[in-house]
Amino acid sequence: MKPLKNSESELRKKAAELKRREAALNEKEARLENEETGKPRMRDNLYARITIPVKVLDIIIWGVVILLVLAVAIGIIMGNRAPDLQEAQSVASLF
Amino acid sequence: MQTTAKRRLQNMRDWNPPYIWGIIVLSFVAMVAIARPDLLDVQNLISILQQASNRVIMALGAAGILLTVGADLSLGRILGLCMVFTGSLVQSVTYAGRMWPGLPALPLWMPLLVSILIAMLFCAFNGLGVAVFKLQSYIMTTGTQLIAYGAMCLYVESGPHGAAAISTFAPEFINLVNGGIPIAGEVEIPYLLLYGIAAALLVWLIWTKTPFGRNMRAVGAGREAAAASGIKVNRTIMGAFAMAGVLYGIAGYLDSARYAPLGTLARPEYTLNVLTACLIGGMSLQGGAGTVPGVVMGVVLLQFVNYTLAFLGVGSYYQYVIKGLLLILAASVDVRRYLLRKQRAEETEQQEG
Repeated sequence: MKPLKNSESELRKKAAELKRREAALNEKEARLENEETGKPRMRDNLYARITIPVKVLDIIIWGVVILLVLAVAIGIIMGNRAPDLQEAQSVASLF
Repeated sequence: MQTTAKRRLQNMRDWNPPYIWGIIVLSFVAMVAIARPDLLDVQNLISILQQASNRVIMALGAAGILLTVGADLSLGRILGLCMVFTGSLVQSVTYAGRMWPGLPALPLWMPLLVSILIAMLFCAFNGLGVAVFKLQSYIMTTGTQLIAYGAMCLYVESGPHGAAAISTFAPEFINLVNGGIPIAGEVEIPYLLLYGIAAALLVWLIWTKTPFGRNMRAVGAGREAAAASGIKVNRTIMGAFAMAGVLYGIAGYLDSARYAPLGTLARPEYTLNVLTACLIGGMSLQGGAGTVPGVVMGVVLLQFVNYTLAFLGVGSYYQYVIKGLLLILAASVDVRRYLLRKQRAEETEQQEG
């Protein structure tokens, strides 16, 4: 068979659609298998086993954002002085 | 017009990168710029872009793998190995502490070729494990990074001076990397920036205008579906790793001039920095998603954050904490996108049937 010759946007749409279908199918398959075996099934998809609701994940994300802001604030307060331009440049290049 | 505004609002509500990241980082930078306006000096901005340029080259390599199969955790060590090899081959012939005292001055393309070949060798090994033996890319590349680290230590210690740091490079090599084209007064366009732009353009062309680039995306979206549509999956995966090898080789070559003296501690932190930048730029750990402009933007935004933190005098230990939190945040946003997509697919399915 020949490789795909679609435009990028078409391919992206198709890929997104395929992903949606794959996720839905995976979910269905897993549900059926769980009913049959009573055990959760291992799947290829990296995130397929993540089942937490989006709202819970939102709380986690906001928690991380707050921690991040705190870390920056503490870092600034604990930094005893602002470096000059050259020093900042050399420190930034290390990270 | 209203639809575009609505879509943008929805993108922000969905935490869709790089929208949300752009807003977060730019507001952070704006706050700092108000507090210390000297941050937005032309020289400073060029300096940030210069530092980001080489990372763009390595991030594009890692992004190709991320697009096709998943994260490459061996990047930092492979790059370190390329750096020490390059460094040992471009030392100034007048320097008494050279690693290879009898070596004549080599043309500058030769260490570049060596660096690319080394990176390609390790990447091909990774590709073989992932494509042929179906190993998870995380496992395969973690193993490879240890091999690369061991090889780097052995190489550094193999010189006549033992594990001495590799330094004092030929001036023409330093100029090739750290030089620039003067435009006005002391301001100059760094060569590194030009290399970064050239690499980004080339990779963008490969990703968007060639069947290989489209195949990479299709393989990342689902190997089985890609194979069913006639794509040679293993060849595509190997191609993605080979492309990454070339880009890592170039990045290692360029980086060696910037971070001398070089030793066995060369750049392990690049791996997670690049991964964070790719996630910020809209790549997914699942593969199949992301664009070259997104990756470039992710790298530049992260470099802005680094620079701003250093500018504010935030200590390096705090910077590690902040970078770690950023990585977790970027990965969480990626998971959120997946869950949202799944939720919407289920809703559509329920409506349809």
